[in-house]
Amino acid sequence: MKQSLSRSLLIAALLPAFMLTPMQQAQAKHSDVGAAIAGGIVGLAVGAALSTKHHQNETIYYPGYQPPYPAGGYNPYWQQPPFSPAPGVLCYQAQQACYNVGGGYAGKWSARVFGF
Amino acid sequence: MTFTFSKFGTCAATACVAASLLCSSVRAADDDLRLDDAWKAAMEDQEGVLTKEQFGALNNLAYHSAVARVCDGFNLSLEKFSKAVNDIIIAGSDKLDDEEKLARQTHILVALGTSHGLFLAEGTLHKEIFCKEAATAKSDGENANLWE
Repeated sequence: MKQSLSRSLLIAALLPAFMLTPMQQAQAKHSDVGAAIAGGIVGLAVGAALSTKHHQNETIYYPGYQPPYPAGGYNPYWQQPPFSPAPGVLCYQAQQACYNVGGGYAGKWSARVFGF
Repeated sequence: MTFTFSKFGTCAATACVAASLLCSSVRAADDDLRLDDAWKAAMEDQEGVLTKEQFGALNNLAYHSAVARVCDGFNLSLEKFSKAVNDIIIAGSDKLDDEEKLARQTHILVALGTSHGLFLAEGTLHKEIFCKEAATAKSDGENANLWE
């Protein structure tokens, strides 16, 4: 029961940021850049809380997981140059994401290239 | 060490450091609008819970939700979005106990929020092109079914 309650509270706490009504979304669209940066900061703060100094439970790793980089190899892993599957598209292996040259995230190419 | 919801308490202590990291990293390479340093800083040591395909799919969900927040004319299909998130959470959970399931779910939702925040930053820093490309993607139809 306690477990179920915790899970419900967790979902309730985290999902509202995405689950907005159209009216709420309309209001959110008027947020300025600073607010978005703040959103990124909050996200980064949470991500940082899970970072190297806070190792997560390895029992929840998927079967067969192997680290994609050796110890101390994170920087070169993330900084490897993007590759281009088509003119005007750059894909980043570590992020499993593609971007348009001179533009932003390219969902279509990301899905095609990385198979999700 | 098991990650639990209580770990969020560490966020307050790390927020200042994280904020300074992001503020110094709010720049994109010349080739595209990606916030390279911020993505790198946010994702360190996050592998293992999600497969590469699931990680890519989660980023894709975060992008769709960020577009719906930043750009006019976009609404997220809550039903499709929820199902997509749940599909990722459920996959790989069948052999975990309750505590591990909660840890996995927590990790995934935090990762989703982190990516969402980074896409919000990319989108609002370059709103015109960000929304123009989203409109093109929506009209194209491929990989755009999370928007109503």
